[in-house]
Amino acid sequence: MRTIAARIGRPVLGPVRSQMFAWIDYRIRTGGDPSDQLKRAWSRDATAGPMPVSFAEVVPALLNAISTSNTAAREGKRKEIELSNRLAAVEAEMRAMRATIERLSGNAGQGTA
Amino acid sequence: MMSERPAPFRIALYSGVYVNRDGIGGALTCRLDMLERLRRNGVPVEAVVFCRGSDIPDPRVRVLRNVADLLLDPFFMAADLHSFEFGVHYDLFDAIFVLPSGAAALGTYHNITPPELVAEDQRHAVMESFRQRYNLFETGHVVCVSEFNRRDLLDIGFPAERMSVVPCPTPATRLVRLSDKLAKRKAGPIEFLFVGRFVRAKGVVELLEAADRLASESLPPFRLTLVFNRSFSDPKLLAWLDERMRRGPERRWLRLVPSATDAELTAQYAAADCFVIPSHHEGFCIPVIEALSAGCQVVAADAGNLPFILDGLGKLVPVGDAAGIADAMRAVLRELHEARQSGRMPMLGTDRGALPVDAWAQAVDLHLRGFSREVFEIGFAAALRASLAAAGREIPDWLLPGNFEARAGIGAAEAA
Repeated sequence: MRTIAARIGRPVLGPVRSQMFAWIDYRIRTGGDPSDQLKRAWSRDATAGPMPVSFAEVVPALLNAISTSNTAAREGKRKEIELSNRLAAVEAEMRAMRATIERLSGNAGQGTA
Repeated sequence: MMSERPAPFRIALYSGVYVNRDGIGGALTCRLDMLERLRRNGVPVEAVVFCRGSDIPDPRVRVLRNVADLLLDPFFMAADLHSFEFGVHYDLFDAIFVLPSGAAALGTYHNITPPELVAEDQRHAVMESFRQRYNLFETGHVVCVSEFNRRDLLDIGFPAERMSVVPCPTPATRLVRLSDKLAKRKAGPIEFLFVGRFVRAKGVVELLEAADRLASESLPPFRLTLVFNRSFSDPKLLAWLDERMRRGPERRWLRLVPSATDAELTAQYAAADCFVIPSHHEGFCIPVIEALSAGCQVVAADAGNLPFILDGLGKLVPVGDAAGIADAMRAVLRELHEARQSGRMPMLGTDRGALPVDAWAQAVDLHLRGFSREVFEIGFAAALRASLAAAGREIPDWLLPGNFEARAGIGAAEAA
């Protein structure tokens, strides 16, 4: 993805999903190469020179980038949930221990003699 | 007045490759067969398989160069439902992020071999597969081909209510009855059989070690047959095996059947007394069902889906434990030999206890019903409905419960 971004000379920005559908729609309506649309979308300059990358090159890289960031987000969320569950378990254990200590302290106060 | 034909319901099916004699390929073929039967029965349904490679000559299969080609295919844009098979990373699966709005998405999870069990040069692909597995979250529903796979997805937080277990269909009727097999085979070595790729992950090293142990003991004669595909096996292990066969005493009890045809494989199951599968990982394991269908006792490692697919109808041994495999094989060997000598039917050692042959056969029949074509198709139809509902789509009449079974030619008794 970085390689393609470098060749185009612009950072890769989202949202890409709707943009990609604009390219596909363009292809279906006109039979033209969506690379033209792609170039305009990213360079915002319709008079720019030949497209440095093709639709066939960009799409796999873009989709792979979406998939990778999706995984990172979901894994991050899962780890967060796991961590908070573990924290809740530790807190519950601490409460139980505290209750046990209090009970034992109470028993000790009553004495056994 | 001309009657208007209803718009066809279009299903796009996806896989990395679609090839013969492959678990994922088999699942795709079953789906295509079902959709074709529905079409012949008047259901307006169209299906296309998109993949990156195929050896199956079928006009419905479209082999693409990459995911960009897919996005430009008119069927991709028009499909009502997109069904993705997933077991290994493939770029077409990333199209799930750009499905046309309103299209339903269904996933089928076949599991991923852990990186430590694959060759060094395949590790990157495996790690990519684990990453891409999260794409399944974008589907409305996921079919897991085994309970083991369902638990695998639960572990990464996939919601239980969006999953179902629908096993791949396997032979509905028995190829060989165990009682017939025992009645016919009164002499000769006790036959053990392994079927799978010759790679470490299948436990072949400890299997040969276990057989070595048996060969060194004073036991009745036995033979171990290894059926494997050379092109999907580990070249280094194959060289080691070939060398052993050239020089070692294994020639007395070991037989190699590389690249068997379907008919040869069926004959091997029919000739075997006991199927041994010491795999370290299995997402489903069709050979266990094939072996049970062919009246083979089964010894399996307690790994992956093996405990679920065997369901107590054989003996589980600790994974990677050559001594454990040898113990289980020895018990089969002794009991079959003693039963032959005394002219009685053997008792079959299983994790449900020692079972008489008839009781085992009944339990196996009952178990195999869960792997029938009908169970598979009913489960797949339910998954289609769930993914359509998740996408807020109307469920076509032919897919409704009852209607579907009638149109797919599934009888009431089979549906029950």
